[in-house]
Amino acid sequence: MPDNKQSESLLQPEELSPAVELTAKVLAELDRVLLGRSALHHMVIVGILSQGHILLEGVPGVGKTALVKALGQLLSLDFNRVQFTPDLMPGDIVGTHILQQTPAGKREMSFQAGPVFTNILLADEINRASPKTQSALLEAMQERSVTLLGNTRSLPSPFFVLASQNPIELEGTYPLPEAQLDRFLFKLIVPHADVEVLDDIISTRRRGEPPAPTWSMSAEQLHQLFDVMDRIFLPKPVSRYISRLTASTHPNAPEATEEVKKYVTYAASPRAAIAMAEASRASALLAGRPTVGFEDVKVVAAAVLNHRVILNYQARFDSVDTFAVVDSLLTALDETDLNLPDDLEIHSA
Amino acid sequence: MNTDNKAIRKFRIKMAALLILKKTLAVVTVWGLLWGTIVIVLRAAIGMPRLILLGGGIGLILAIGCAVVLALRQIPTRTTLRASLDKYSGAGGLMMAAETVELGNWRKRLPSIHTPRLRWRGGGSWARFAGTVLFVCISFLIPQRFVEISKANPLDISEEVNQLADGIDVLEEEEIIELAEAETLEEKLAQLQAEASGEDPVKTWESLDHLADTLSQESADAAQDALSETERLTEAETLSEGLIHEGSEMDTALLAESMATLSGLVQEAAQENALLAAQLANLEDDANSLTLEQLKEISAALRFTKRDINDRLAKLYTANLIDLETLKASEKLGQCNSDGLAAFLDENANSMSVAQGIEGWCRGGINRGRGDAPMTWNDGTTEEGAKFKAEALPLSDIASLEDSELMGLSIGAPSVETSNLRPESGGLRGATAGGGSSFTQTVLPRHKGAVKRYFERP
Repeated sequence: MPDNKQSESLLQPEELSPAVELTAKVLAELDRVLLGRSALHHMVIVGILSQGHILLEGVPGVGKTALVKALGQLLSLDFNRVQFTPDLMPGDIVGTHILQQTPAGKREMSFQAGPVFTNILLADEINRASPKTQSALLEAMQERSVTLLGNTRSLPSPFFVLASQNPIELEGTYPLPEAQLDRFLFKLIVPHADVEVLDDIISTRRRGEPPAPTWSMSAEQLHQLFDVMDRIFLPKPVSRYISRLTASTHPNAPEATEEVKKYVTYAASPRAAIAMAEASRASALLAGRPTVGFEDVKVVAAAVLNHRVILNYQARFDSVDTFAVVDSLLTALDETDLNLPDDLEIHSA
Repeated sequence: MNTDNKAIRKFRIKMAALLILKKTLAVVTVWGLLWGTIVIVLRAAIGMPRLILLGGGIGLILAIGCAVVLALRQIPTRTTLRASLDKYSGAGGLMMAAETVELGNWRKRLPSIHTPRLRWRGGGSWARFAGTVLFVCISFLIPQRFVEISKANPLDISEEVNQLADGIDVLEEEEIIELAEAETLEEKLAQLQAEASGEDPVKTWESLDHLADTLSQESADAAQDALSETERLTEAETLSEGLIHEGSEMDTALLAESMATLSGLVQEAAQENALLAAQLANLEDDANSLTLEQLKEISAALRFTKRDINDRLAKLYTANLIDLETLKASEKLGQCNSDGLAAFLDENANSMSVAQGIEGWCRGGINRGRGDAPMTWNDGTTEEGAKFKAEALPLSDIASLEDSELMGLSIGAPSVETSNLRPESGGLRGATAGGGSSFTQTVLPRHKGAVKRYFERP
């Protein structure tokens, strides 16, 4: 576990630059493998560096699974894919005990590990499985361990769940419970590709298959990145901004905007603030800085908050989504909390 | 000192100056409104001099001091200012981190610090401040008479005062009142006008009425004297006219008595009327030897004097000091026909003197009695039989046992008869003695069930 205390000295440029080069290389390779998804790749790498789970939401065929597979190859980590179906059982994910006969002729229950015992678990179309099966991932995602018949088994480190879900097919699907949604660091929307990207895919990819990565990151390098992440400095005003931002998602908060007061039913949890801080660190690392700035928080805020803020029916009637609500907060809240009088404005010189 | 610390210090001073200015303007505006209001109130209520009220300006120092303290408390902390500079300089958290950790080689890569521009939209504040300054100036510069509320609104009695002043002038002109009295009355009138207050108009109106009553009383007395004088002058004129036209028909004795009476009347009138006296100054003082010319001269003088008196009364009427009835009475008293006077005097020579005769002649004749006969009160009605007299009634008679009549003696205990008789009709139908009720309702058989259920309900 990383130490919560801030480092007494900043990462110096010479210490930071290898990590920055490494992340840039990963991003470049991802961009090469999957065309036209730079922003998404950036957020996915932020999520990986934050050691968080990512929920990818998009219509079929936009490259969700391909992205996760490419990531698995790129990171040189164990990769398992589980296609979530309505008849999938918890044991199909976490594993089960089966009766086996030993060479000595003795019969005993032996544990058969499920696909969750891996570094990267692709939970494809996670909302097609029943809530019972979805819940099998709760402990794995939060505790990074699996408890079965009283035995707790740790999962390999690092462990990521990269889940995908289809937002348009509602029949035969089970919406993820809030508790599980909250365990995802990000919920990223995978958009449609534009004309240029589609043209590139058709003209350069036979049957659309992405090329295999030419380079992969070792587990050791990934852990070095995690170590660097622990030394990214989070200044007090920025942590204060993250706290205010999270607290402002509550309709009764003093700094809540009109949109929040009108449309929000349930606000973001403390886990959201923690996730935002971690993701901001990763964003700063990708930007080549040893310190987190307000701009890093703004980059990750929407991805962190959009699945944690639950809107009411009025929001549906008014066609307001969580992105609009979060955007209103980012616009309204003064990052530095200067608390200047209303008629006193501050502008960049 | 590092560059970022210098920039923070500069930014802090800039912000402090702006906040102090803003807060000072707000507090001074409030203080100014308060000060101006107090100035107006004190000037209006107790007429406090402006020089003393200028001392309130000392409060401005206190207000500015409070504003500075409030503004200093509002200045953001250095950490917040550093964060603000970090944000506007695009330092990505490096400046913020520099407060707690050593930047090392990152300090060389620190971007140049851009102090953000502070802009105060203070148009409204300046406008309010200007308005307050104007208000304070007005509160001092406004003339005292516009703010004085201790003196009530003056009561406009100029019309009444002018009328009374005219009356005083007329009375003085006609020598009804003395000059000194007229001056005293005019002074009172002027004082009354000056002190006339809308706060207590009744007092003013009462004073005006009192003054008007005084003038009316003086006028009434003068008019009454004038009427009496007119009456006497008319009698003298009538007698002189009678002597002029019918003197030759009178016998010598009556003529002499008439001449003497006329002379007496004229002398009496001349003693009271200076104008008449002046006109008759040349008349010889021989009552029995008045010539025709002298009689004509006397008659003319009497007419002239009467006209003068009538003119005086007309002036009093014009000045509203007497009523029209008085003026008409004067004109009426001035008319008396002398035709037949000689015959009348001759006819009554034995029963009355010429003086009595002429008096009765001009007042409508002796048969109908004097018009101004006094009313006499005698044999007043008693109140007996008309006024209620309280009288205590005697006590009623109480029958004494001595007056009772013995019907018989019983040796046993008195028996109480119980009667089962019950009235079968009327308001006490069905009631029995000692039954506790005055009326008993008969319940028909078909209603018994319902009544029973009613009383059995929980």
